[in-house]
Amino acid sequence: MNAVMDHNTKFSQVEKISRTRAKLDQFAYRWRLFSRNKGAMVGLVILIAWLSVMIFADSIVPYPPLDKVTRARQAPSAEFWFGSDMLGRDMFSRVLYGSRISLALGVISVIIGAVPGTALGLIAGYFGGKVDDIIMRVLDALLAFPGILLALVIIASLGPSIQNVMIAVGISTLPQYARLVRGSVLTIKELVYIEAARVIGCKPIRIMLHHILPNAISPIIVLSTLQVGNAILVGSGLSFLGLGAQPPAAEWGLMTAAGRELLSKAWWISTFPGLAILSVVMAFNLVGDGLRVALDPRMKVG
Amino acid sequence: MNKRVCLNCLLVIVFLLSLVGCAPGDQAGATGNEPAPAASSQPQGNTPEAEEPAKKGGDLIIAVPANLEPASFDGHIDPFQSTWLYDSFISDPLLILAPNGEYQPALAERWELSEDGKSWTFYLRDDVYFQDGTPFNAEAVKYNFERVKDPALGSAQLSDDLGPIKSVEVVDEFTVRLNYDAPWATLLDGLRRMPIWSPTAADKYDKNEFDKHLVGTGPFLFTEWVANDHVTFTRWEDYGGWNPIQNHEGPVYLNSVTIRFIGEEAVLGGVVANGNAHIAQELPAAYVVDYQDTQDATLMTGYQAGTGLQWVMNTTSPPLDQLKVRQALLYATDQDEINEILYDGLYLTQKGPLNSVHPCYWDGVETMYPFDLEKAASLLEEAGWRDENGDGIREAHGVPGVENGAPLIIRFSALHHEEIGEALQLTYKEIGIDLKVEVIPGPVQLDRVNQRDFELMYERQRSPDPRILDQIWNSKYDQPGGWAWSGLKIAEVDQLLEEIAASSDIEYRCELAKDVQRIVMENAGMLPTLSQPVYYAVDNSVKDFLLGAEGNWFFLNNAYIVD
Repeated sequence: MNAVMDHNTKFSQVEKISRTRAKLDQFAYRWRLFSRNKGAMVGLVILIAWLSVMIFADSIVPYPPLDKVTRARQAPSAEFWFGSDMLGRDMFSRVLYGSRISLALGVISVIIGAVPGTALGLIAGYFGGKVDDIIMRVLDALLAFPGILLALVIIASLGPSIQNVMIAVGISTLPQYARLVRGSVLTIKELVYIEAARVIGCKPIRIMLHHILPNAISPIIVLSTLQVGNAILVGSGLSFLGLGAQPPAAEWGLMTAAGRELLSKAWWISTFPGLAILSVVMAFNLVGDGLRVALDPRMKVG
Repeated sequence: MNKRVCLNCLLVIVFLLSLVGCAPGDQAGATGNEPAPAASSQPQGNTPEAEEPAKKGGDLIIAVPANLEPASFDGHIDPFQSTWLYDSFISDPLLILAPNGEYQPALAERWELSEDGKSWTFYLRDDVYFQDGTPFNAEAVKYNFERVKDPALGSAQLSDDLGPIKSVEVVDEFTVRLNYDAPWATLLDGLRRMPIWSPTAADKYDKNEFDKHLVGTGPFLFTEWVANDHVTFTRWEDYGGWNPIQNHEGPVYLNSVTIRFIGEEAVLGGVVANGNAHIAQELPAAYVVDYQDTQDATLMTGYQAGTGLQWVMNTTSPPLDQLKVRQALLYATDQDEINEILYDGLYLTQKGPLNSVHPCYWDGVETMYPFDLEKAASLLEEAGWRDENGDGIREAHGVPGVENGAPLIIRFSALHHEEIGEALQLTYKEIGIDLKVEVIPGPVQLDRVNQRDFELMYERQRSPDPRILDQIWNSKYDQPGGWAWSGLKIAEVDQLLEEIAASSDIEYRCELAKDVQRIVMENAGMLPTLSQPVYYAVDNSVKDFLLGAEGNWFFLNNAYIVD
């Protein structure tokens, strides 16, 4: 009896090691595909730069972002690289600090949209029939609204704040995940190994999480990466309209809005936060695009 | 790059474009409606004499902030200064407030007040008729008074301004008398704003429809109103020059007047310089400098007597139910600094319930709360607000009605000028107050006030009459629809205000008003901030554009445009 158990344990250890090695190989292969894409690499570098700014903001900003440090509306200079805003706060520090809110907004709202969206898509796709109909029709109704409009409606009922923007943007992207995952599930669940799993008595929840989800994850990752950029853009747009971050927060959308009345007098107040949004959103799109290529199972390394 | 990336790039670009505000759209609109300034003003030839200049005329375009657009153009209903101003183009009032601050007769030739001060008699001009041919007489005036006082009309302000009229009496065809039970001193201030509409026209339309078909006796016909864009008035050729401001007989010179409502400050700031309008009203402070040293335009400054930009404090609930907290806010407000930072010092500082250009202004308020952060901080300490957890924001420690440890958060609710709040935010943070700045639309403002759900609420009233103090500080107006929002109930103030309302001696009324200003400030009923002068950029092709005694009022009776 003991011998058999030993044998089993040994076997599974060997299996584990070989699985890990296969995963590493797989990763190296995907990374090679990804790194050949110049755009994606540029995007990745920008993202890493912004991430480090976000993490070390406290120690790299030259001035406290919320305090008046010089005269109002000073043009960019050696001392104040991006000039000062209409209250005399340092724009450079504020733009750097703004990465915290914007990146957090992007990631959190994607989680808010992706997790329930994926779950609903799995359930709808796996069970099919009435369950599928009910879930998908409700989500279709959500899809009928343009994303920004849906976000506006949600903000209108929850009240303007950056947390509510995360919720609003998350909910408005939820149907996209559900549709995407459901599509993959419909294909995967007809495959033989799923049938095998069902035959040996696996519970639906196990089949969904262990057998279907890992094989449907690639498009979710690609969509999520692209959505982070999109969420930052929509979030900044909502803040621009006064529905997101509230003053004195150093948020890019809010900063562009504050400078817009003075664009012909003090262009730097709106321009630098605008460029920050541009760079982050572009970076996420480039990386997302690179991931799409790298994670596509049909892609072969030439 | 694939399609998705491109789509997102496009979104980014659209977003960046939106930074330019609605500028491209607005400007396109401008060129769309624009009869090129002064283009049609000069009919060729036909000058009777050689020395006679070409006929005066022109199509005047005035750009104004979008928030001046009336909800209803019927001044009997709508409670805003801009509505009454536009109404004055369509209909002359019984009397006007001339630029020198005097009441002068317009449709009424003269008026008299009875000995007991309870009845006003107006002697009307006998040569006036309405734009639709209806004769102007005592019956028509009576009709207008009764229309304003009719509760079914829902007059938001004018009905209050006319006071409790007991009866309107037609003495003869051109004499009308208003009777009151008690003297009503401020009648003339209401009358100078009250348009006189043609009874025939007013009867023809429903009250909600009539504001698109206004008919009066004024120099211009109400031609076109496109909501959120513009309103156009064209010259009435049969106008008799009944406004005392007018320096010539017959119709006015201008062919038409177009008021354009502009939502973006940046667009309003450049609209005269780039030739899209002749006049910009309420020019944003940042753009004033553009018009100071130019040959092409003149900068005119009007001052508006009233309250200035003030934030009424909600004294009925924590934390502003504590006098010391309210006073701390006053001590912690450095108006000179805010004025310098935000407006290049172009605004006027205002330290009390009336602004410094008000005839009844009391300058004692200026020394009551000098800027003193230490004093403010110690007042907060005394009131039980201390920062013990070291996060920079004070918390309640034994403050009545507040849970221990609750942070000192005060909302600053603005309709506009929210940047003042942002500037205050910086200073207040230094003494441990977390000021939350929010921008709310008008209906939300009124809703919040009715629910008493605010701490600092924007409120501005404009009038050179001390009765505005009555509206804001008399506790009897502390009710839905009233303008007394602070919740202060001070018997002495109420009594002084009743006296102001009843007296007709302006000097005596000002004396009383000074006491009111002092007591209100002693009780720190509101946070005064700056007062906004009204800047006009006027293109030099516009001649004889005349500002009124109040900064937001002007006369077009003599104006014309030259090439």
